[in-house]
Amino acid sequence: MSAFGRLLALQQGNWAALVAAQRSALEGLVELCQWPAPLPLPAPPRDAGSAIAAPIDAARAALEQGTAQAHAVLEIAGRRNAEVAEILRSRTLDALEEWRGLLLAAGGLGR
Amino acid sequence: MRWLGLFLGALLLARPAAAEAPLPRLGADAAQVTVSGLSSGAFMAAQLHIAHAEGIAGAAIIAGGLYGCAVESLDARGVLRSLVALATGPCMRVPARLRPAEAYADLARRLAEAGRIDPVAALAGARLYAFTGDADTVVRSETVRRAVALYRALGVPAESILVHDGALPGGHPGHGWVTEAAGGACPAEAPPFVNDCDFDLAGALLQALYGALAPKGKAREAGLIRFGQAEFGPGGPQRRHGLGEVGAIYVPEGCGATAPGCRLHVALHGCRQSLEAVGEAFLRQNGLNDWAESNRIIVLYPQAAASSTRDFQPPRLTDAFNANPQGCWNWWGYGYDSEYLTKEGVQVRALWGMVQRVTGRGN
Repeated sequence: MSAFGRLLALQQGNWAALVAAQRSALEGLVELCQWPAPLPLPAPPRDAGSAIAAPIDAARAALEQGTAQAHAVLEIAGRRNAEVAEILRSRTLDALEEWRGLLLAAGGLGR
Repeated sequence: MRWLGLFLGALLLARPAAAEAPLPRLGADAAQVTVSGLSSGAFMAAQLHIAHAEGIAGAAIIAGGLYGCAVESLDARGVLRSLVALATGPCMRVPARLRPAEAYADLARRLAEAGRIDPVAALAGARLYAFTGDADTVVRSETVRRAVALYRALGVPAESILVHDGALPGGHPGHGWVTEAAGGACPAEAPPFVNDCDFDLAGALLQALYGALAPKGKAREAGLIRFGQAEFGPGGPQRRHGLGEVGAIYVPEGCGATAPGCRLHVALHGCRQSLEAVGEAFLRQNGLNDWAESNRIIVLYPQAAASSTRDFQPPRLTDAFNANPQGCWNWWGYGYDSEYLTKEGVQVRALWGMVQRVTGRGN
């Protein structure tokens, strides 16, 4: 394979890794969102006490549930970003070595 | 003379710590192996039980234990993905976001169909004990209820399940292992997570799993011995996999190497409750050893260990998602172990290896 061909293959590998990570993240988000218990609505007040407490309880539950869901979504994104960054880092190091070999060969210096 | 003393002192310090003895082969009855656990230990107890349903007769889950609770997805290729956020969110503090029990049962069935865990049909003969306190703010009661519903969905008959859910005469239990007289206040949620609620949880769970037992005896100080766990890990640093170097086992009088017919109960500590975290507090105060002594039950206490990003070499950006800072059992796939729910999970393999050894099978 020519030098250009090898570099092209490396770039295609980078692209494939990115696409795979994106797809994985999307699948995770879709899976997670299949189970979004609807955020709670305030129950109709039955008496004066519940008229005060119900909206506060509902807001508290919504906050806790929304936060839990947000944490999960953020973690999916964070994990996939870290995985992609790790893949790209590794492939970039490979590409640099490839370049070193190409430049040394072009200069007639061997590896 | 002073220099000689210093030299000998330095020599002693430089000497590696004496290796613990290997886990003994004891010939326990392989048909009477049960498991219990608190919190992360409960989740692991359910994992071990459901993965090895053909080899474990029953489980007791205390303040935890919903199999597959942290799983985000099991894709068509069989890749399991799990999240810390699901473990700390729906599985612990926000149960409103839990999935229906049938979703977790479906996950178990799919893993069983793929041969990654034992057939779920084996659970039809299992016994289950579940405990949740009404003052537990760490793992909410609904998670335990959902775990019981999962076992029912997988075929465990209602008459084989005993659930304690709520308050006790001695108070409102927080997040901990409940005892008759040992430990902190009943609603406490702090190390060593052993709480005095005037309730003999050890006796309740052992009798739920084994049937009526002889009255509890008195554990012998010398009955509790330590063993090296390294041989049960995959090699390399144990901590990376959340496994401790040293485990413990309580061997009652008459259950030595040549005495068959003893039963085996595996007891799994919770997060921040291991030997390295609280010393022997959990091992000696939980009450299991007293019942074990009078009923020929060997109690195995495997140990998890805390890990941090520094335990992963070479470092990777994803290490932050794979550490185990509180020394919990692996129920969300830390340590890059995506098989943690199955028989191929690092910790499940280690625990099963220990069971095999104590029952006189395997190597």
